[in-house]
Amino acid sequence: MRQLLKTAFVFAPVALLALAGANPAAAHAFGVRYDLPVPLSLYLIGAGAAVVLSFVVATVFVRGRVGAEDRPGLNLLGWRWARVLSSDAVRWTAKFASAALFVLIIAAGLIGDQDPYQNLAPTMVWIIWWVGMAYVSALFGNLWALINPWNVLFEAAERLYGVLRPGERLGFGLAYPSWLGVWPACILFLAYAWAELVWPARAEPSSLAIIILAYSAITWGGMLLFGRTAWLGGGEAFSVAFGLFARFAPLQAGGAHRLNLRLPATGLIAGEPAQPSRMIFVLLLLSTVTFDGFKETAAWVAIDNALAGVGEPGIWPVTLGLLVFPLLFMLLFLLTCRLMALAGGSGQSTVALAGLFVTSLVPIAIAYHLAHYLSFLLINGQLLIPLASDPFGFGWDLFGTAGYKADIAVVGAKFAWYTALVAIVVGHIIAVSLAHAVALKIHGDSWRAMRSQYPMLLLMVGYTIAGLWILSQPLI
Amino acid sequence: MALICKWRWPLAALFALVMLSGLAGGAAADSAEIVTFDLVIQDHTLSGSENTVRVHQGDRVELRWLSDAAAEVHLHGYDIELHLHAGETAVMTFEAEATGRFPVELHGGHDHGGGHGALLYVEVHPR
Repeated sequence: MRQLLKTAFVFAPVALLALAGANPAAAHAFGVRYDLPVPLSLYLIGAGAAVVLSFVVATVFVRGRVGAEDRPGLNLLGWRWARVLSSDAVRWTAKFASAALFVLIIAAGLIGDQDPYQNLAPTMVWIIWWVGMAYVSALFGNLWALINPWNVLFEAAERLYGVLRPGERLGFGLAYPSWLGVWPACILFLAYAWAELVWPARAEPSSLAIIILAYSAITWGGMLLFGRTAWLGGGEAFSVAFGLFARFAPLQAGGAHRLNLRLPATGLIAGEPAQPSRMIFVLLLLSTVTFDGFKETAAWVAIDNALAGVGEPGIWPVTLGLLVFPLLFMLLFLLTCRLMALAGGSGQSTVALAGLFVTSLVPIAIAYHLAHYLSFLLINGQLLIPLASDPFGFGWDLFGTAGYKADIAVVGAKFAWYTALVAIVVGHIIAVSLAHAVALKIHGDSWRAMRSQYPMLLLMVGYTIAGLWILSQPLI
Repeated sequence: MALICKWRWPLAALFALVMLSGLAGGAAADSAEIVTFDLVIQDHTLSGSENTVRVHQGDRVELRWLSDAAAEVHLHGYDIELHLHAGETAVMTFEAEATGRFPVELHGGHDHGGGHGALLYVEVHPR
């Protein structure tokens, strides 16, 4: 059984690889970015601010203790409007709408017009869902956990099965092996990142619908084997990814009767070290988001040209980059944790420290995500307006918006630059603060915590400056 | 007061940052003008080494195209399409109100990506 599972998980991405079509490569998953690179002056200001503010944060932490305690948060369900918003009726409507949209996207992909701009599927998947849901998760809360259509549809199937065969449960009821951790999610996420950044057919509606169906088969297969909840926790890549982003969010659902309002990012302060597979997942999330930006810089074009002899252009170099980037991140991160272990003298092992500190990098990744995609979402997201009236590209005009043209002046270059700068600097401060809070928890003594933090501080300043540098590079 | 003393240097640094960003944001604005570019397409590529034209927000931009073969050029974002006849100059005119970096593509193929395959980039910088 174990062997069979391992084979299945290795096979899944290979199957996705094999599905690759033969369309010329585009610069992004889908859509065109119109951003101007961040000017050098702003880049230098951002980099300087990262360095200076790191010391400000460090000073605060050395003098006092900020936010290391676990507060329960404010239960919003004490307010009537919040109770209405989280009532069963609203929840079920949201779940139903999400499942219906899921079916509509697949149907549009399969039978709709195959021009990516005339079809709901590419815009909905690559822009609204992937970029938009990441923002909702990070800035509000884990909405995905509620509306995840794979979960909703499987839950519906479970209920139906319960009605048809009273007393029996859908699935094989195997125990999810603990050695599996979130490894299935890691592999599936890497396959997804490959589809987003490399797969030549990613904007083709029918190909997109087919990989959604393939991913659905894997997901529902996993749920059948191990149960819905177990698979959502370890195998459903997007539940793991959005769940991680949502630990940054101010809202947190705590059972049926609590909706906590907490200080943003405090959910990322780890109580106990993350499992190795979860640490790898965090690093995958960070490195793929960063690599997406990096592959549009002149530096990448130089690497791409150097690799030009290797296989098909545009596919193998990027695939290689997608695999090397996470390894590079992991090496740097483990090296930092090793140095931290040496500097702190707390007796913690490198791997334990890595598990404790890895989530404090998440705010920088969220900030980078905001900096890189916000204007893209605001401009390209408008494609949804005409598509809502004509999701299949059949010439319908359901809501009278089929003729809408995107307003490209809705946000300008200055808006993009300043949001990028503010997001990255603020994300950096939060990350540094989180790492300090974790260090305080480990060491108790502020000065020792401070000393152990120098390597981490260096890594974060480096990561922040690298993120800003990418944004300041002329797009290719 | 003691608090201010303790925070003197971080506060000074913050203040310096705010001043710097003010300087960066307040670049002097000059008036809008008509800017013209002559662009020649040979063999489906732009002749000359530069593939980017830079204008400022509010400028009236004229792109004068001359192609050695019939072609369709498409300026993304502003979404202007122009049909070119071989050897005849055709002009694409627009007010550069939206800032950003907009690709111009030679159409006919299936590439909608607008990325690596662009013929030309029009950069509209904010004032």
